Amino acid sequence: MTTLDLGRPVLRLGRAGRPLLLLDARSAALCAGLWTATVLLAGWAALSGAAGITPADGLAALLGRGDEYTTMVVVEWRAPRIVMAVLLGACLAISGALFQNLTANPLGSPDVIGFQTGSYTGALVVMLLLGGGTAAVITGALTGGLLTAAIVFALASRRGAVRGVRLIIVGIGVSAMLASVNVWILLTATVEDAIMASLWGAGNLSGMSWPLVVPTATVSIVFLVAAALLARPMKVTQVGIPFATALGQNVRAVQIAAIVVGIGLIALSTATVGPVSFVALAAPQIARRLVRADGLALGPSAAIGALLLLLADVIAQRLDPDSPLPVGIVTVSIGGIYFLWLLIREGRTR
Amino acid sequence: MTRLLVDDAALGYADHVVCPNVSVTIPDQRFTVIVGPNACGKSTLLKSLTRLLTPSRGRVLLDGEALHRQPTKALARSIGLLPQGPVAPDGIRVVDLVMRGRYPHQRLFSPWSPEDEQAVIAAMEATSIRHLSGRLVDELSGGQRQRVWMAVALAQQTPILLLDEPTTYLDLSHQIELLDLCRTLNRETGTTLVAVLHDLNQAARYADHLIAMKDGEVVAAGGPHEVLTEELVAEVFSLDARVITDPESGTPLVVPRWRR
Repeated sequence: MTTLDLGRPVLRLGRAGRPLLLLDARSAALCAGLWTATVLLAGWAALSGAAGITPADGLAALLGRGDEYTTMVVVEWRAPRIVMAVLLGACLAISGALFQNLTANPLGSPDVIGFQTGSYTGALVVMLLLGGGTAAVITGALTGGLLTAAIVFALASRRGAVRGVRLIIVGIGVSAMLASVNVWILLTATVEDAIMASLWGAGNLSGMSWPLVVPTATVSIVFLVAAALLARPMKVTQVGIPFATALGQNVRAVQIAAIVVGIGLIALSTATVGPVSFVALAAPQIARRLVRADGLALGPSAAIGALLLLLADVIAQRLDPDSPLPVGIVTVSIGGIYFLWLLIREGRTR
Repeated sequence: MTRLLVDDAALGYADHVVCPNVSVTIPDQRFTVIVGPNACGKSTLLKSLTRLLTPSRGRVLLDGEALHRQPTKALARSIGLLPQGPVAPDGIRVVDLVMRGRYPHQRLFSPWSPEDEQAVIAAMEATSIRHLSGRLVDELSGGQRQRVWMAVALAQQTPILLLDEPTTYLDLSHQIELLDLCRTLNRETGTTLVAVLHDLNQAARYADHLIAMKDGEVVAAGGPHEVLTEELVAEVFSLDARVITDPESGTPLVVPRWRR
């Protein structure tokens, strides 16, 4: 019995003769490194800031043995925000990976096809026209996003099939129209209301609390597990519909499942913290460049998304402690730098 | 009674019927080749033998049961397909692509098994691409790439394999190489092969069973010597040709006459 040449180092997990899992060594090392960096950054974010806290005090507070003030700052204020950034970063990245795979296009991410702009429209309608609290805004954002997705898919489909490029172009068009609707709604509001609504629209992680984090985490885990289960079928879909069908796949069912999970993940994040752009678009691309893997590369994408959003939030808070920025502004700035770098690099190789 | 047959079926797409009335039996463990001019319905017929196309009337049967009634993965363990002009995902390695062929043998939670691994190795050895295993598919030549796709289909380990114009875009030596591979596969493992081919002489040389089609209908079916006559070439391909004996294989050889 001989073994396969896989062309790269691969970890075989499980018994020697019957490995349970073939794990790309580079991908595994990258994930380990990224998660270590994320944990270190999370630790630093929890301890530094306006109220400096020693590691020992911080740890005691997390274990429930700290004093009242430290517990308040670390456990009640900072921890939920950090957990949310890590969690939603991973959700956004995986949503992006699913959509890029579905459309077979690096631009096919849910923020490009208009989901987030639609969520903002929904949230604006609730905040400025109908009036409502946090729960109402979340509902409004969800409704807006899902309606937009439905409209984009309906306009992009022809004879029941949706083609990648068509979806992206229709998405950009619908997105642009909704963006002008958003501006119009903002212009009709009072200055205070407009500022509050704009803050939401920029994507903001401030004011996170456990009562919001816990349900978000629960729902996201369901979607993340579903995404992990979709990884193998989607690898097969990549070889084309005729081949995938001959390999026994119900291609349509897999595509619909991927759309539902992808939209679920982006909806979850947009409804809770507002439209944070760029993470869904770039994290899977960065992961693919680092790992050179085929398929979804869900693990590395999630790790990069988590680190990216946490880093962006830390920068947003620490850049000017007196007037913290919404995290969405930082992710957009990083996105701009990333695209410049990409253009320069691609320009050189061609 | 053969395993795979089309029983008085109408085949086509939503807006138009390509083959209004076909009945075809695919002999078991033989190499069947479908020939005919462009747009005669030969690819449509081949597709109807997979789940890609469901007949609007009549039935396509495997072991006496309608194809589209069978569980998709079970069917994929019986019938494989090498589609026309497949495109490999960006940045994929040969071995990862061939591994995709094991999909119908895996369940949602089933791990990568030694059986999968041996099947992938066997498929790569049969197609002589074992040494390319770790290479990127993008770096390969057209001939090598087609052998990789063939390996994906072989890794599926089906007793029936359909090939839709497998030699298109290959140069002559790679065409012969691929057809030789098909013939060896058929002779050594008894795999039932059904291929759509453009070249009549190659079809006559490699086929045990020829199906000639024109305008969506089967005009003749049988051994190459029975089917490939001067009358049939004139009728199906509107070509005035002599049919002589190939000095190498002893099969019919179509030689077009000068037009006067």
